[in-house]
This record gives sequence, structure tokens and C-alpha cells, in this order.
Amino acid sequence: MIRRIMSSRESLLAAVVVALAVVFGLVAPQFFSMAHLFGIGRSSVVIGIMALGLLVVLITGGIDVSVSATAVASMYIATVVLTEMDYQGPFVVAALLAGLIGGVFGLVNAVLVSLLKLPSLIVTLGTLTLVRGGLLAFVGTERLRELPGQMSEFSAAQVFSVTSAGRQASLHISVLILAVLAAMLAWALRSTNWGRSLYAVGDNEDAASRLGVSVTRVRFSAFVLAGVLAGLAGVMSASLNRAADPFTIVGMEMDVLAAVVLGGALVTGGRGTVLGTMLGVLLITMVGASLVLVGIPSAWRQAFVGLFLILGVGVPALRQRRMERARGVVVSA
Amino acid sequence: MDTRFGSRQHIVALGALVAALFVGLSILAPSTYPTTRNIASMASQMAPIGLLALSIALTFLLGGIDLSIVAVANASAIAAALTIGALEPQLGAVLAALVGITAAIAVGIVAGLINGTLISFLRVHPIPITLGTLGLFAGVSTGITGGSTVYGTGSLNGLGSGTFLGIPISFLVFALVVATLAFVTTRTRFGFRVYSIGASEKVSRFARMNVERVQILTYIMSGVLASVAGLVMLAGTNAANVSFGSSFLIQAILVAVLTGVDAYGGRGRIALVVLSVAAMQQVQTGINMSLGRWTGANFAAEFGWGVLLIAVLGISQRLGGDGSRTTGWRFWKNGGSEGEPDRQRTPEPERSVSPS
Repeated sequence: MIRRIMSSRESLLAAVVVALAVVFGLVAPQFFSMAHLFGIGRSSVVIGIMALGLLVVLITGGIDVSVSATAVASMYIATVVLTEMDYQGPFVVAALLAGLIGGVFGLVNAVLVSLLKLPSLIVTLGTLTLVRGGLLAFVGTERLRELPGQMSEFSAAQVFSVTSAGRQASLHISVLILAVLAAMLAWALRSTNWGRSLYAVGDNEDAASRLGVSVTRVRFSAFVLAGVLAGLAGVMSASLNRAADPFTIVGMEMDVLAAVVLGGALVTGGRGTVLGTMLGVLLITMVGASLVLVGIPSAWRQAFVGLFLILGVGVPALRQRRMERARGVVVSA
Repeated sequence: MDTRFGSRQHIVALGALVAALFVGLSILAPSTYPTTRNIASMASQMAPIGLLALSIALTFLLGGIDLSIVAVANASAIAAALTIGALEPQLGAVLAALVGITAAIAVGIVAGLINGTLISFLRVHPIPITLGTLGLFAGVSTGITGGSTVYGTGSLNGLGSGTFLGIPISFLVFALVVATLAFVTTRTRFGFRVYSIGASEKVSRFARMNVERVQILTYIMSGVLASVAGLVMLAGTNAANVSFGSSFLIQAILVAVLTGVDAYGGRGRIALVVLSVAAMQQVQTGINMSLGRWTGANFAAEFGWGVLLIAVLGISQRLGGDGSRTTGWRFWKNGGSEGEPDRQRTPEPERSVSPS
């Protein structure tokens, strides 16, 4: 039992996170300040929500690299529409609208991928370029500082604040939203028919459809959910930045994928957990936010993300190869 | 006829597409389009995309993909620019340029070696790995340059704007590379092995092919092609930056798909890249001519590439679909440690199990 816990992906990842935190804390004591820790929480919100969506798609055996474009497009379109309407109502409506727009983008991905039977990487690479290009060409390139409705109020909404060492540090409410979404998804994946069918489809499509699972419907639900979550992530990003910037979130798909893959999701489908994904997100954001603290220029951030992605894919593969060899299963001899 | 090189209709269709685009655009802009100046300018712009498309096409044939090519191209260009800038005062322009070119190619070889080794020995999917190396290469280049642009000394200008008998030198380089690769893939044992591994990695292993060696060599070739593309980009603009060519990856994939190279491996004809690049370049020039003054032109072009990629993929799937590939939705074939893509749905062949 203890060995099983020790060898699980989540505990290994948690150990890495703790070890890195200790190293960062030793090199730069301000790492453990409340302000910095809450800051890490804040910056993991957008990537975290997108990662939950990508996780669902990866479990079914697909991939969606367009989540970043979906996020920024739904956020920007929702902001423009609500501003045009001179909307003043609650934040929830803005979030729902962005989620809806994101869901439509997800639906487009699902239709292209399952009806045309195309590789989902190339399709979503296409929609990534298409959505981003279309947004900047036809909707706008302007950074909107005036957010409609109560999005600005939301950006100032803190769960609680503490004052430590003379500085006020506040935990933003969006961190709580991420936690709630993660908990809901974890429950759905574990305990609902839908959640189980995601794993079934990702593991073996044929077996799943023989069991009576509608494979097409499951795929559609995965891509649409990824789109909706991306839309929510976009709204969170606008609120946290207090502006709707069509150039933000661009390129974040790599961080998201790295986080999910680090969290133990297999790109071949059938495996992946919410807890692992959240730990992956935490690792990526923690390193990204703390490089400068320990004296490494932030320009090196992308190199670390790439390295993490390689390690996240490579280490389990290496382990599996060793296991195969130990069992005497030789494919290549 | 040999089916692994695709059908004859595809060659005719591609040729017709190139001709139709040329005639159509010439009718739309009779005074500017069908001029030797425009044709020469288009030919000189084809090389970077064409070389990157060759990288994609070659790795497609093997049943993989190399997403890191643009990062490798930029890293090579930066390496060349930095080397030339540092050495030119001591060594003189020619020698420094040669060292710079060598440095760029070395970057390509190292990058390809890293990609190939990770993919073949860890038996992991090329998509997450090359996405990771993309981040790594781009990240290291960003770290070294701090994200700012590195300028060349102009000693590579001949490659960028020079002509030989009226033909741009960069296009000649591209044509030479295409001819070499066409020969290698169709007439050598190595080429046969690439097709064979792309068609079925498992069968190739049973046939005692050294799959790892072929994979590593192919990814090294892909890296070198990318670094030549980077050199051409550096020569053309006399500048290098990690963010250059942001839409090149999707254009290269588009060209490879248009060429008829099967993304699942084992089928396609490398030489046809020339025709599909010619088609792409005409679309690009058409977009530039019609949207030239609009500030959103770049973004609209990006939008166009996305639409075209999906349209071309969809059409080629409809026309070339043999019905057996029902697993297209998967992000890639089910390779990895299981070996065989699940497209054939045959029961697992017996593994050779050695008594432990």
C-alpha cells in the first residue's frame, strides 16, 4: 500500500513540488511570503481552468491545442458584445456568455474531428491559427480597458486578506472558482457514467462502443467542455488583468499541455486525473513565477516549460521500457 | 503503379491547381502578376516554407511529425548571426560566413539528434516530445538573445537576394534539396525503410530493420532542413529573432498535406512539394496583393491558412479515404510502446518473449 502511494504519479509530483518549493525558499526567503504564494495561486487560475478542459480531451485520446485561442477569442468577443450592449449586470452573465462562445468553438472542433475523421492535432492546430487570426483581423486588436458589467468589481473580489510583514496579501476569489471546478470535474470523472465513458473511449474505442457507449457523443462532450472551460478561463484572465487584451493567453497552450502531461495524463488516452493535472499546473506556475526570485531571467521560462514537457513524457516512457525489459518482453530484439 | 507514392491523379490535380491559380491571378492582376519580376520574387520567397515543408513531409512519411522545426530554424539563424557577427572582424566575411553556416547546420543536427533519440529510444509520441523540444529550443534561444533581434552582417545576402542565370539562389538551393530528397526517398534503401516504418513500425521490426537508426537519421535530416530554412530566412531579412515565422509551422503542414503525404505514414511523394509550395506561394502573393494596405492583412492571412488546412485535409480525406482508417479522430496513430497503429485492427501478433 505504501509502495503504491509512493510510486503513484501524484505523490511523485507532489514530492517534486515540495522539494522545489524548499529549494526556492532557501535561495529566496520571500518565496514563502503570503503575497508570493497567493500570487502563484492567482497565476494558476487561467492555465488551470484550461488544463481541466484539455485533460478531458486527452482522456478520450484526442488533443486540443486550440484552447488558448478559444479562451482569448471568447473573452474578447464577449467583452465587445457586452460593451456594445452597455451591459451593467452581474459578472455571472459575462462568464456564461464567454463559456457559451467557447462551447461553440469546441463544437466546431468536435464536428471537424469526429465527422471528418481528421487527426485532432492538425485540426486544432488549424482552428488555433484560424480563430486567433480571425479574432485579430475581424474583431479587433485593441486592448479594452473598460470592462463591461461587474467584471471590474469581480477583479477586486478577494476571499480574504492577511497582512504579513507589513504587506497586504489577498487571495483572489478566482482561485476558489478553480478549486470548485476541479472538485466538480474530479467527482464527475470518478462517479458519473459520463466520466467513466471518457476513460472507456480513450482506452479502447471498439470495446467502449460494444459496451453501448456512444463514442461520438463522448468525443463531442469532451471538446465542447474544453471549449466552455477555455471561455471561462478567458473571462478570468480579463478580470485578473482588468482589461480585455486580444494578445494575451497567446502561446499558453504549451504550458497547459505541459501541465496536463506532467500530471500523468497519457496522450494516447485512457489515463489522467484532476489531482495530477492540478499538481502539474502548480509546478509550472510555481517555477514560472519564481525564476526571477532565484535570479534566473524570465526569458528562460519557456525553456523550462519545454524541459518539463519532455520530462513529463519521457520519464514514464523510460520507466515503461525498463519494466518491459525486466519482464522479458522484447519487441525490438 | 506503385501505390506508396500516391496516385497519378494527385500529380495532375496539383499541377492543375498551380496552373489555375497562375491563370486566375494573372487575369485578376494582368499588369503585375504574370511578370518575370513577380515570378522571381515568388520563387525567392518559396525556399523557407518549402524547406520546412520538406521536414514535415519527411517525418510524415516515417509516421511521425516534427513540430520543433520553426524553433530549430530560428535557433540556427540566431547561431549563424551571432557566430558571423563575432568572427567577421578576425576571419573576414567569407570564412566567417562559412563558420556561421556550419554553426547553423550543427544546431540542426543536434536538434534532430535530440528529437530522434527521444522518439526512438523512449518510444514516445513525436507530438508531445517535439512540442517539448520546440519549447526547449525556442526557450534557449530566447534566453540567449533575451528575446531581442540579432542582426547579420550582410555576408549571406547572396543567398537571400542573389540570382544565378536569373533564378534566385535560394530557390536553386531549395530545388537541389528537393531533388536530393526525392532521390533518397525513392531510390535508396534508406528511403525504402522510411516508407516501410511509416507503413508499419512493427512489421519493419520483424523484418529486422534497425528502426531506431532510421528514425534518428530522419529527424536529423528534418533538423538540418530546418536549419537551412533558418539560414535562408536570415539571408533574406539579415535578421534573426525567436518569434520569426510564427505561421510557418502551419503553412509547412499545409504544404505537406497538400502534397499528398499521408500524416499516418508510409505514403506520398516528396518531389511534389515543389508543386504544392508553388500553389501556396501564389495564394500568399494573392492575399498580399489584395489586402496589402489593410493593417489586419497578416492576421487575415493566418485565418486563411487555418481554413485552408482544414479544407484541404477534409477534401483529401474524402477523396483518398479508403474507409479503413476510422481512427483518424485520434490525435495521432496509436504508436508508442504498443508499436502498431490501430488502423488495421488485427489481433496483436505474438511478441517474441525471451524466457526471463
